[in-house]
Amino acid sequence: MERAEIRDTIIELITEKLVIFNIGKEEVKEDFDMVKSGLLDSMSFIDLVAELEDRFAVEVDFEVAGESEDFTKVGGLIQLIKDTKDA
Amino acid sequence: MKELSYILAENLQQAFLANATNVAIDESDRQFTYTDLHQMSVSISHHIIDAANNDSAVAILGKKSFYTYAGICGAIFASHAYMPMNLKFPTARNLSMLRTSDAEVIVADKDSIGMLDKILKGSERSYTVICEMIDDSFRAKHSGHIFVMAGPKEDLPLPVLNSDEDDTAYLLFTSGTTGSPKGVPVSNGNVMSYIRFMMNKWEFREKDRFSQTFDLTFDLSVHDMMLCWLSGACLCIPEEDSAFKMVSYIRDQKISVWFSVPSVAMLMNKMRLLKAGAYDTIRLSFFCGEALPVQIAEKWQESTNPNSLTNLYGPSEATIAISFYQWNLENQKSLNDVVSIGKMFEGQDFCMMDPDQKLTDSKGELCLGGSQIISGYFQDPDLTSKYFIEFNEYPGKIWYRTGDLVSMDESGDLFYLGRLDSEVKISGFRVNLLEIDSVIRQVKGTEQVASIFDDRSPSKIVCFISGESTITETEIMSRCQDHLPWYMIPEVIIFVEEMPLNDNGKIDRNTLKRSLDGKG
Repeated sequence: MERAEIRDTIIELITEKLVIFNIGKEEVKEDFDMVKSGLLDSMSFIDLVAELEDRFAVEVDFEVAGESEDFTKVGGLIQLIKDTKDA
Repeated sequence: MKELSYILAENLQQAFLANATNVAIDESDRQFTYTDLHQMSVSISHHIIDAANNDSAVAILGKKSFYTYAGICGAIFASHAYMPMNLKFPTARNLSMLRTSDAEVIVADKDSIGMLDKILKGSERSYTVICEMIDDSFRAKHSGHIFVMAGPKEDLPLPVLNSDEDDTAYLLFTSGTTGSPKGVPVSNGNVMSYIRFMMNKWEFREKDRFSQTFDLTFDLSVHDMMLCWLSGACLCIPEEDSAFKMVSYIRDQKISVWFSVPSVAMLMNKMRLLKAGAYDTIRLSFFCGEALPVQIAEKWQESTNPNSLTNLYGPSEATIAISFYQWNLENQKSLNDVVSIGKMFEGQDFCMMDPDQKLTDSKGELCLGGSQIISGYFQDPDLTSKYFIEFNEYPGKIWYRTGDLVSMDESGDLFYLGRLDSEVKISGFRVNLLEIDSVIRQVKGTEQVASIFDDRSPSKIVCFISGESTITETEIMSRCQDHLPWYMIPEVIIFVEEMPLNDNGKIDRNTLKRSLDGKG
């Protein structure tokens, strides 16, 4: 599983939001926090993770994932999906 | 324990002394006893009394920290109301609340310095700031204001209490229709009526560990603080921004009395965290602030104690909550998959009225009366006379009209059916869509704006805009971010050539809402 593929999917799923907030795709770096930035509320963020679960046929362990400071960062979420898929 | 009086300060003082060595606040890495809280609160209260020239509310700015809680208790001991601000609100909104409240004193914890800086820069008057920590450069920068550092002192006497039952205990602001929030002053008598009912109905114990999931600008936080401290129990503070960390919060803090909006449980459910028996430390659970879906009640019940769940209902104007339904293995009433809001608290009254303001029997707008109802909006007689009304059938009695449509079954249990006006609930927060419109209209002035609440999952605020569309989404979002709290910011903006109008020539919001159906 390539990180780039997961990253592209995340960007695709948040594109509409990025437009509204006037954030360029290139500005969305690994440490961009999708919740703390105000881009998504917690419910929409979990919906995003659920969509990624569907697309990549994985099931995230939210109990562990939710504790991580990086959970809501783009890089952290990419890693979470990748690690879950590769496990 | 002695019978509680109707003066919050008296009851708190007694509880603080009676439970001196118990832990009052657990910040997980630091614990504070009732003696710690008492000494800090009394110290702050003396500074408040020294600084205040009038009897307006004391503004509280900070995280959910020991110092912030001591500020709240300090205001109460000084016989002042407290008015919570919110570090997550835009500066403009905090400033508007501060100005409207006429506060002269701000209690600020060490994490609030950034917001304090912006507030003081934007303010016209001189404030006394009672702070946890302050440096000389900050003082110099804001030399028009007075700063005092309050620390705990062992030998300070409690100030003489001179609160009256009718004096305001806390002043909150809730979304209004005109672009400025409306003030809800809740009196000592109002809040003690609530507490006395709750403490008679449920047994709260010294050993209990209370959750505190609400922001302090939300009146449901008062339930956590006051029921906890008046029971000699421990208030457990979650980490900041911990929406995804509820499992460790409940387990590590061994929460025994839970209170949240249903959204918190809904989020946990989406994360597949409501597993059977997962949170067996929870002895009592309360939900309030928005409709409680049956599925969530069932899942919560399975993951906690099967007989512990209570659905509460009530607007801030009726003090925290005023009706309750105990959901357990035998009683599971619902309508449209939403749990019943049950019956009024003992001693509180309700009636229902039709659109012509005539009383009805089985379905109508819920009106509330009794000792928990505030006497009116803060310094706003026009708004007060619109929402606080009388019926010929009940001469001399004042009723608060909630704007909530309810129905009642044969046994007298009530069911929430929805709103009758432009107000909606988003994760428990009251949002008046007209306030959003009003803020956005100010960007260019000419545009027609209509926000609607799209309640299909995931629910969101959608804002329609028409007119000379030289306005951009970015301009709109930036204005919203400067003036509205996060939960009021639209998620989708749609430009339309023309607004659909109804027969009265007003924007037809139902047509706008239906137009979304095609768009998924």
